[in-house]
Amino acid sequence: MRREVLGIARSEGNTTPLQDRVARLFEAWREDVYRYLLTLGLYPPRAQETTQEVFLRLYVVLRRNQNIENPRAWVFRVAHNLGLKTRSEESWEQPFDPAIEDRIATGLTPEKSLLQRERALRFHRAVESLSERQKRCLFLRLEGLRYAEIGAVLGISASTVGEFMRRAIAKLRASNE
Amino acid sequence: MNNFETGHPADGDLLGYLDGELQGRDVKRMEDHLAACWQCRAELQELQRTIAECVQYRKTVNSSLPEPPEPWFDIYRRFDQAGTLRTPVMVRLWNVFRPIVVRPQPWAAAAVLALAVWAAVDHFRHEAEPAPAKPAPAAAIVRVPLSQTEASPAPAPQTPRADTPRRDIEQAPTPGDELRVLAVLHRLGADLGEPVEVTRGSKRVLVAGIGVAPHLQRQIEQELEGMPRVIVHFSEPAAVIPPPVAGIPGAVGRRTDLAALESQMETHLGGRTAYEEFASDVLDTSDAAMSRVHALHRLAEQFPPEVESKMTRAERALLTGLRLEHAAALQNVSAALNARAMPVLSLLGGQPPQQQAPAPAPSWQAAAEQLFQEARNMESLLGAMLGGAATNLSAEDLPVRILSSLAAVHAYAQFQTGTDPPAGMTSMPSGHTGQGRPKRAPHRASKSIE
Repeated sequence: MRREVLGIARSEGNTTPLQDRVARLFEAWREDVYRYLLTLGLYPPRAQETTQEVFLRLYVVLRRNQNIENPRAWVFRVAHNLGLKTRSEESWEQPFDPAIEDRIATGLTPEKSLLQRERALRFHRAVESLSERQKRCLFLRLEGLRYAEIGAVLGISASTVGEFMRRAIAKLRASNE
Repeated sequence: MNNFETGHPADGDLLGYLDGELQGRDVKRMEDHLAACWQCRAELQELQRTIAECVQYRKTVNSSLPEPPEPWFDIYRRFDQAGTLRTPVMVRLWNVFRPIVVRPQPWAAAAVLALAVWAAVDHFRHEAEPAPAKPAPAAAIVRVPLSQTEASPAPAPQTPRADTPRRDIEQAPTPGDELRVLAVLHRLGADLGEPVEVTRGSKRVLVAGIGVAPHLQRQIEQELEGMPRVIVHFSEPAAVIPPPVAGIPGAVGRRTDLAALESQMETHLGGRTAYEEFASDVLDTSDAAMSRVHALHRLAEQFPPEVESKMTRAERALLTGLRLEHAAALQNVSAALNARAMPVLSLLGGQPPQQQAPAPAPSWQAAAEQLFQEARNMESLLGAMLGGAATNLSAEDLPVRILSSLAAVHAYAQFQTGTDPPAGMTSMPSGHTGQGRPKRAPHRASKSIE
């Protein structure tokens, strides 16, 4: 039997509804997870391997009928933890640096006009000046996680996340004033 | 959150409102206030604008990052392998109670311990007593196949190792066996913050890891392979759904006196950026210290004096070596923490009080417990001052209490390494070598906060 599921050619037997569900989530979120891992400093091959592993783990956990209230938060929590472990294993290497500043400056990002590029550069520098925790809170919030979920990723309380978010936003706002 | 009778909501409250983090009555209060206050509505729009810029920034970053180097794998082809992973009862129990153990609650500790011991004993009993018709496995290390399910309780016989005598299985594991496992984990860097637990059962030492990276799993298995009476089991993390934030004091907003304290620190440090760096440094260093404190505490719990006294000389030396290594690292981190925090805290709250006469500690294990309690107190205090965590202490008391706690943790660390206590803590024990049992431990400097 041959069937098309989410653009993935399947030439073998039956699939379960759970497998289809995880495949859908994989299709929808893998690029976000992969890019989040790059921002953690993982090199592209490791970020891709780690992303794939995260979704297999998701499948394993769901198959055990364990309740995951917010799969996206779960995926990012596991990705974050696996990513940090991978980074620590590669501690002899410099973290991956995508050279975002250069790309903005040379017009390789969506900001095309000079004014837009200047503004984007200013914002990027403000983000870079955030503490690592503030940055993590911000990036995870941008991926749709709530404060308590971010807290579970970073091992801090939701109220601490709120405080980090407040400081981060205040600093980013100041960069445009 | 206050009721805005006397002013406007803080930035944190407005952001919390936009993020849907306010609860119940706070939402109504905020909406009532916003309905009346143009200023805050304008403020809210500014915040929205910054959030929109963040969203745009994410697009910018994502467009700058390289595409995945390989085509994505066909996940359906991998399901079959992943689908065989199952978790035995004991690890599932651990998954359930892990959040409690990680954030220990006094009431839960005894229950968790009892359950863990029961589960370990039960698990090992069945594990080590295969059906009589089958030969007992003679392997020194038993890798529990992850495909093993509760539906098929009889474990598949492991490949026998001819070079390992069967008595390895029959003898109960000793504390020394457990210690050697810990030493291996330490060498691999898997004893600091890694989700690997070691439990000594009646038949075997269980090394259970949850969510451990595959390459580290392999390293651990390889290193432990030659060790008798050791069983290794790795599994996947379970979903931990964080509790709702409703009702947590300080979940929104910042107390006025603590906000004022923060402003004072900013002034002393020379601006907001310097303060952010300071807070970040101190909290990160505190985290590093806590990982060492947990490692020491675990050694003290796993090898109490009555167990240590029955160990061989070589085993005691190994234990001392591990303990001193953690203690020395803790001493360095704690010194760095003091050096970073003390100048600022001294300006805010004066000098810390002199330590009182130390309470006698019958053993290094007892002193490690005191260190653990004091370090948790220090962590809570720092979280309250720099991380926005809730506290009942006034902003006036916080700096002095933190200074006392930092000094006490450092003194405990020195005590564990056997070096002299810091100047000013004259009552700290001195002169012991760190090899034997210390006679006295520093007194707790401050009481825990809620």
